[in-house]
Amino acid sequence: MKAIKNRFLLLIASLGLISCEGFLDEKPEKSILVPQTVEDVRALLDYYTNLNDNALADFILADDWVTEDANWESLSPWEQNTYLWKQQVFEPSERSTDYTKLYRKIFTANVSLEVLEGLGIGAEVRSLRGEALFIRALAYFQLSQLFLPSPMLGGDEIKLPVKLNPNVNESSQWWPVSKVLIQVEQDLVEAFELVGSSSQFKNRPNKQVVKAVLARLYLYEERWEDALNAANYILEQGTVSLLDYHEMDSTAAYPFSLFNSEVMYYGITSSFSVTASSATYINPDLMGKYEEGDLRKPLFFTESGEKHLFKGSYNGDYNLFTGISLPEMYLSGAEALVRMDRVQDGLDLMAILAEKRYQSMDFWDGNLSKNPLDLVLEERQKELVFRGTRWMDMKRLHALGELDDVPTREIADQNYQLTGSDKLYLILPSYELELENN
Amino acid sequence: MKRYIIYLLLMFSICQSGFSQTTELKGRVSDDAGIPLPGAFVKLADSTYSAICNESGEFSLQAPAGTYTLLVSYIGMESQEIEITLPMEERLEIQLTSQSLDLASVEVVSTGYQQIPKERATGSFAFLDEELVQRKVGANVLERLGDVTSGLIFNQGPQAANDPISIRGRSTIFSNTQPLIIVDNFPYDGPMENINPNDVASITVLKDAAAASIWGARAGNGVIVITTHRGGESQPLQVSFNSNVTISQPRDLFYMPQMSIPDFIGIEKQLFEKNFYRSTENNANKPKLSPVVETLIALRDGKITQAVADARLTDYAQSDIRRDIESYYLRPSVAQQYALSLRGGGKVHSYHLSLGYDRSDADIVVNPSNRWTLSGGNQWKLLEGKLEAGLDLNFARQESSSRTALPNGYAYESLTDEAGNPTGIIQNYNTRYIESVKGQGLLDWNYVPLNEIGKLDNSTEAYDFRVSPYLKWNITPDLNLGVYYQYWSNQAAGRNRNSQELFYNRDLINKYTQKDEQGNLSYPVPIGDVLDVSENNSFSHTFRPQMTYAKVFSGVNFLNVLAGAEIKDRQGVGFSDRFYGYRDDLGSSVPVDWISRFPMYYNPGSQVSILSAQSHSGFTDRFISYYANIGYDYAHRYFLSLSARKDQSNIFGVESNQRGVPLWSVGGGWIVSEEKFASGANMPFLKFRATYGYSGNVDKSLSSDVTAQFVNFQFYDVLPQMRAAVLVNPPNPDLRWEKVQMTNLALDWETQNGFFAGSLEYYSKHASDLLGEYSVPSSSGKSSFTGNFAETQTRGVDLSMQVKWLRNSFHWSTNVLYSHLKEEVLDFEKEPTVNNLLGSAFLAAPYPVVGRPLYGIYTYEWAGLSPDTGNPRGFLDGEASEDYRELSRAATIENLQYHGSARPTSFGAIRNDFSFKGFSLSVNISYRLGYYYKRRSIDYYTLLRGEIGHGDFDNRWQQPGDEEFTQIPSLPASADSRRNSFYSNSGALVEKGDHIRLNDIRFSYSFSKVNMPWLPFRTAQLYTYGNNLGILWKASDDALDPDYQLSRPLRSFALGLKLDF
Repeated sequence: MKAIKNRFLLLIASLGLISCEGFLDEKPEKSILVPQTVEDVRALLDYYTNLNDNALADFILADDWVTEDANWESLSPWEQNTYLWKQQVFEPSERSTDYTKLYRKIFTANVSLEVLEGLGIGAEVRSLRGEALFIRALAYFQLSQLFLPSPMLGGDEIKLPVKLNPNVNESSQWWPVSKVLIQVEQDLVEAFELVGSSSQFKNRPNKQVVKAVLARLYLYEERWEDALNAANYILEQGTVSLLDYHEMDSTAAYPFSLFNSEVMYYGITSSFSVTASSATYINPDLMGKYEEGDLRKPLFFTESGEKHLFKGSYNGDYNLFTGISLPEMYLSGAEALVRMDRVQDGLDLMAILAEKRYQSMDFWDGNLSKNPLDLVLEERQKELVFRGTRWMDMKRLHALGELDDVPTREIADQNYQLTGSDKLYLILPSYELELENN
Repeated sequence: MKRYIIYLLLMFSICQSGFSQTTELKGRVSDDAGIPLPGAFVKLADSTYSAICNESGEFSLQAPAGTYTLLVSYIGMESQEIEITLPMEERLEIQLTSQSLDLASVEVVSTGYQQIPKERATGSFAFLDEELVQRKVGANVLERLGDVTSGLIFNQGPQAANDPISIRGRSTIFSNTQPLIIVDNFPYDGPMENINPNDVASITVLKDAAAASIWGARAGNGVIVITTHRGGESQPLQVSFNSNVTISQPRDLFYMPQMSIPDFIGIEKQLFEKNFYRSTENNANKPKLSPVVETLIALRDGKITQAVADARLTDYAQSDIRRDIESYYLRPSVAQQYALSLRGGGKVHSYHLSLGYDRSDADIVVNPSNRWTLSGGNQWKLLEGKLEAGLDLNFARQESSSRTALPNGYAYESLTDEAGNPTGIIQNYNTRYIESVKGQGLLDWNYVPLNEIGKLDNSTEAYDFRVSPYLKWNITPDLNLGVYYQYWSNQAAGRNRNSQELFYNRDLINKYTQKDEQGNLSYPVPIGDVLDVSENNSFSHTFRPQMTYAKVFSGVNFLNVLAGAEIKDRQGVGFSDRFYGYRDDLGSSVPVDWISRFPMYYNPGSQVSILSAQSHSGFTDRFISYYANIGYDYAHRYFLSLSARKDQSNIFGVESNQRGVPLWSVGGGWIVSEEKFASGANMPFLKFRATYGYSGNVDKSLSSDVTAQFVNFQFYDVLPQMRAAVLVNPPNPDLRWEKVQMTNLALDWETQNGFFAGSLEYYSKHASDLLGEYSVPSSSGKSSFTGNFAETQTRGVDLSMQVKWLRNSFHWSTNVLYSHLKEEVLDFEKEPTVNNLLGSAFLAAPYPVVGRPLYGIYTYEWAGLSPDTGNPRGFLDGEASEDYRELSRAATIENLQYHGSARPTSFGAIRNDFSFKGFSLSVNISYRLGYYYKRRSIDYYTLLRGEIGHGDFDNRWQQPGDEEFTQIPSLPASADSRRNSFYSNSGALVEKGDHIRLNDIRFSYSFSKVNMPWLPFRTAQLYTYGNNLGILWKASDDALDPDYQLSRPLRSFALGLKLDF
């Protein structure tokens, strides 16, 4: 009897042992991943369906497109307000999907940076750190374009919540555009040192992509020489090449293919009701600027009655490509050169691109009588139509006083002008402000 | 950890004391029906030798040799005195008779760890005996608890999705809401559908801390303990057979009012004239448009004449797809049930075996399902009762198949043409497009629903298996040690084969079909069937060593100690997979390219890859628990109970010191009627009870670490080969278990002869450390955060009473259940938004507001319709206003109108049972009081975007003066989402939910061999049962049932026969 009793007690004691040896350490769900390793961070930074998905507001605000009353009616209220360039666009209890999306990218970057801290300084750790910094910088840069005024117009009383660590419970710091952009530049400069010079997949940044965003930032800050240098870095590498539009098939429903040779960094803007709608027409004024011999006209657009719809997405379908592509570098470089009074250098650079875009150089040469700056800006608008950069350009030009014709939109026989909001930024969703203050 | 082991060791060491000098007396106490009386008190007169019967009614007692008077007593029974001489070889069999011949049978409640006579319990138990369990008819055992269990309610409506059953309200916000279910002493891991209700002998519902805290961290929502039949000792073979057929009405498609079809066609015409459909018409994805719109397009484009168009529109105005569905698809559903059971036993061995078969044919044609259950068990008593052993086996097989799905079409589409032949309806694409691709060599792209009846091959099959052996060693008469073990496993497999007879299959192949320049077609999704399979396998091991010690000291002190440990490991894995180009006759499939993106046939601009539909899942649930329960009884009058449990589990990432939580309870009872001073009173039984303690709850989906999850590949991904992860949980190092503190005060009584009996309980539940989710600024990276910060409180009263009016040849008794509760959120760090509250009436997730119940009805205050325009109006600064943007801007939680709880605050049932000779009639009427609900109404926003609307449309405001008799706004000129959302969130749609319902009626006739000796069986019962019989009274004049706003509660009738041999 005693023996059995002892055995029984042994059994109970063994329960304790099991628990000590990790019985309770098993994770409750197989799918749970606690990011700890380089591979885990790699996967976090490859979540391209969020990280390479860009804000819809950038597209709605751009004057590249117009729509008709019936379609406008069908948009959600914030889309309607944004279309009319109102400043307070969100409903009182509404979150902004764009705003949320961009901060989610920042959170992913901050978590990745924290995990990487403890993983040494190997080559892969360094390049992942660079990628995370890049993602954070790009997101803050995009936030500042939507929710802060141009850095050239002052307005430091307008601020944005900024977080540089993943602690959910810590409240944000409030920074004005000047401070935000310093952080953006710092992160990008560091990222440039860290990331590789090429990337296996185009959802990941590399040195050229980082430089391309720096070029955008410098243009935004009117730092022409820096912008030129950044653009030149990419052009000098020569690893991406221009598509020759002579060889493209303009009868195809979508002439361009995904990840074509001009694509440097994948980006997408997609919304069934806005970007993919069959009532999202090209602004007729812009349409008028495509002259005879411009190969882009049949490749980018399709006629719908008297109006034009866009089919030139580098995603090869109805989703808009809003990543980074090579022609932007020619245009940025040329603009910087012209603004630095190196007009001929600028036009030479433009000619390289024009060769691939015009039926023959005769058509291009006919343009040269125009004011060089106007020419470069007009080419920029025509080349980068529906690529997600127009809103940034509108803000730049507005700050420079070069936005000659005030953009106007008409809904229900009423005109709405961009000047309605002098500093060209959206007021943060009031719901978010309420939560921030809690 | 170590401390607990030592603690357990100490407990076991109590058994060291010896009893060598004495002789042993063994016996068994039962009532006059032979049912054992656990807890009966046995004492040798003028001595301190005494014992208490165990759960089988057995006792054993050590005393020196000699002659004694043995006193046997039990509450509610006549005491007996028996002369005995020790030593005594054979076992004493003692039968006690009831004090009043009609006293309710002895209720022995089960906590899953031990059986306690209800009279000795301190905690709150609701007990359903076999008769009550078997009163209802149906395949699901839990449904049998409805409206016969005090304090338990089946929640209804959209908010019930996550918590179908509430016991004494809800004590959690976001964690598990359901009671723990124990079947035969072990927490049940399988689906409840696998329990055959015919096997159930009794159900005990544990409601307070003293009852439930022995189940610790999983008991916060109450515990339901199901005990199945066992073979009784020395019981001759009993064979029973039960069979019944239940017929239920088919679903009622016309239950939700719908606007008239001619009106809807009118709206479509209007929208067409306003070019509303233009962008859809030109959309590159060729989306479908309704037949009316297509007719109007054809007319506009000159494809048909005005006369043809008019004729078509007249046709549509007279069609109704619901009529077609009713006549081709629906029929009454039929459920059949057969159950056979055998049980019996001798002195050493007892056994039971039961077999059940259930079959049901759903109200949609050819959708059958069936269930087989088989359970059997053996118990042995060896070595003169020193060693008990048992082995139970349970097996269930469940199969359900869906061969037909209801079609989804426009309101006025027909499923047949004029000649009555099956015809196509519009699906996915517009008819113009489908016409235009005819002759291109594609598979038939038309959807003809009637041709698909019975053509689905979609089935699931699940096997459930449990084996539970135990060994109990009665070391001394007072002390035993037991080891209990259960192995459970469940295999579920699903298979869904979509053959080419189905539109789904042909559409999938057509979409991906590629055409080259010569017009040759190729098929990335190969021609053949599409087969989806899934499999889930889970198992658990539960091991429980336990000791019990029961001893009487000095004749009047009875101590009962139970202590043990439990270790549990439950794991599961699952996967799903899909095969293309499958041929069922050959069992072969064709590999496909999952990586490339293919332009869609209908829109080359849309490129997607082929869905792989592969997924994997797995979980591990582990618990280590230690528990102890001490019961002390002094002189049958005073009771004290103490229980404690500590649970540890593998909650992810929580530091081990936070993993475990000690939960305990203490309770006391006093049978006043046993006191000498009460002996003269006309109340044979009166008892007070009070308990206090804690139980817990947990949400295992959270983690103290930041967690991520790999993202499943989607067919529209541009980089399908990418291994990507998304962050799921922000870190929360402070995560801990939820705690529910419960206090219970009760009074039980029974008058002379059991005429009036009942119990009244007051309770208070205070739940703290509740997990709550609150909104955080997006700048944090997340939009919400979950942590232990909420607190709720529920106070309530449960009353259950029974009156036996007549007890002659005609029996009439009435059972009354009444529960009242007040739920309140005490603390919730972040308030929900106004929109959260407005929308919450139709959502399952609660939005807690401090000071209010978890589920409330909130609206904009209603200022009536504008007399000029019929626009809905609200109040802005006390003035009626139509400025919906401002109304929504100005709304705050404080100025929203709060109507009241969305869940009944009072509920219960009144059951009358009559019997005369062999006839019995039982009628149960239930009631729900003190709550509100939100009615559905016309949604002009979606109507003006082309979707048919609610029947309220017919009664809308149409001209000035209409506001006198209608609250339904006028049709606006254009889709105005703010106006619509104001109306749908306004007080105009709130109704009082109070109602009384005739729940069910059971009528039966019993034959008995006693009266009819020629019968080939002992007893037989022929019974009928009607369920969901209708509402007797309701407070609102809404045409729909307050608890069933979306679909009619289906009436059913059953006919059955039960035979006992």
